[in-house]
Amino acid sequence: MIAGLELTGVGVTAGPTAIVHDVSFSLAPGERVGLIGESGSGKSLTALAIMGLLPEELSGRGTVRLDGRDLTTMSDRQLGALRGDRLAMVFQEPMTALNPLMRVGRQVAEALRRHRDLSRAEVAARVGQLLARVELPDPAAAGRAYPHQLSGGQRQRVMLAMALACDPAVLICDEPTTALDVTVQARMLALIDRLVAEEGSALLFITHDLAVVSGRCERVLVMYGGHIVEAGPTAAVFALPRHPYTAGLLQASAATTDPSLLDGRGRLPTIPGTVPAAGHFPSGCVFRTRCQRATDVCETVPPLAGAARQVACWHPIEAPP
Amino acid sequence: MRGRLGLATAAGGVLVGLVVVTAAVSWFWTPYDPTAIDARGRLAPMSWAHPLGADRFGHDVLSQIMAGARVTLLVGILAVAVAAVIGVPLGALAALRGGWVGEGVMRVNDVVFAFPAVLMAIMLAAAYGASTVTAMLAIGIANVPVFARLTRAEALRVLSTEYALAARGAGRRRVGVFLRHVLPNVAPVLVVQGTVLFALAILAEAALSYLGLGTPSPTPSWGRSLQESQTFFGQRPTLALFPGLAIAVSVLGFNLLGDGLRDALDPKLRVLRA
Repeated sequence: MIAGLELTGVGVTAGPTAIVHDVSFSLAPGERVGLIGESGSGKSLTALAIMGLLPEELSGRGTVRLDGRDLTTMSDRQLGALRGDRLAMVFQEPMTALNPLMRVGRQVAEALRRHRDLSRAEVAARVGQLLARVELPDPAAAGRAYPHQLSGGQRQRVMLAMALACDPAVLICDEPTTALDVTVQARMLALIDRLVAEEGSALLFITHDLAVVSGRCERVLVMYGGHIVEAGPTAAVFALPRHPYTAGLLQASAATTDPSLLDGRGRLPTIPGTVPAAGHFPSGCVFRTRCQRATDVCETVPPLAGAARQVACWHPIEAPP
Repeated sequence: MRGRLGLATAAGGVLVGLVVVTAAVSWFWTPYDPTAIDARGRLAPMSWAHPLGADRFGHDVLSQIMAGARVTLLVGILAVAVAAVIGVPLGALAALRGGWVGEGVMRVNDVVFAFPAVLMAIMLAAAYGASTVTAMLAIGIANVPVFARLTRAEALRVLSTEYALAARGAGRRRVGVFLRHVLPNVAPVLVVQGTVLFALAILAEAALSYLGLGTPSPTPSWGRSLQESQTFFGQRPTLALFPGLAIAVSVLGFNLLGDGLRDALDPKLRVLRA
């Protein structure tokens, strides 16, 4: 049995259109992995596929194993017993991910009441502890508040408390700080780091912010057009990207802090072209129409090759000797 | 609260209150027995003895209208209850199950929707005889699709929110999410629809009784009073005026109340959608 989370050939399709292709990676217990990519690259759908919560009009393929048990063949009842207990997720939008008509404390209690056989008093006590752990100023008052009475940052903390209620083995955070302003974001990230370390949970951190991944995640997966195009230890990938897409992304990102990388007219370096709409990616390598290194061989899909450092490219950028 | 609900809602509340109080009082007291026949008092004009006059059987019109309020409210309450009790679970099923089950439910709804309440009442009256119960069932069943559609549409909206997804992520199953998260968020819309439907049910009951498909004699009913007054319209126009006024007042009351509730609940709906 392999402990942790393991994805093999996970795909998501909307009718005839494939949106996520053949995604395989694993997450060891306690490991922190970043999944980066731009909007529409399939990051969030991958997360929903892991949770078994894909919208009805989409269908998933492949296998998702948690501690060796295949989640994709489980009934909704069996999956429900794992969700919120062993496997939890923090959603992106603090404004819409809480029920506006339910007190915050009850929403945090939801997973506890579902998965733990606790008395009313024990649940209330545990909710108080959880709200205190996510550093809400007045946990008792926060528990009695309705979502609209809390700020965005406070709501995001509540959602983290909800996800951590049953000490999950795997925590998926889907852009948990995107909607927050920068100072609140930094405190939220520090909080996630601390709590994940305390719980020993594995973390899958989904974001489009490269800076958020570096220094937080041991490994990083780069997604483009529904494919994982590059994977490896975060420091190595960021120092020496091998896929042209990763390189372009890092270059554009670096220029925001280093003006010497701007072009003659003071503009950011960009990746030529635009991201095609879902279903309109080229055959073969999904990046080839925007890639300066593309040749005829790129008309076939490159496999994600390599061991610790993986790259899906026929012409990867060579490491300097 | 009063300031936010506005004058129209307050007026609606007062009118509805008037109907409810009249119906309640009529249980204990009416000036005369509303079904007592008084041959000498036939077609009595308005007077201190008969403030609203008497009809061709000598029934006191005021007593009849008071007792008629009872039938009106009863039909309204039960018709709305029938429509909601059948329609809401059907809409919920359609929203939760989707696929051929959901589609099937909604197509059967469409078929029911094609039958107007009057036609439904004629069919039920033909089979079981005209009565308050058949009128109420006909109005209720004819409005089942209204609740089913509304519930389905609103439930689908709430089910697609992140908090419904987050509740599933916490391990709740579909039915649990529906009961704990979807229903409370859909309830305000259903309450407004119920109030508006109440007004429609009053009107439909009056129409059915007028056609002889509703409440049979001798139980007083506003619609039948209206129909019976027709022959004497030249002699005693007030016989048609007062039942008509009673119908108009209660329909107006429920409509104003429904509109007001919708306005009052709307800002909240906007927050939910934001």
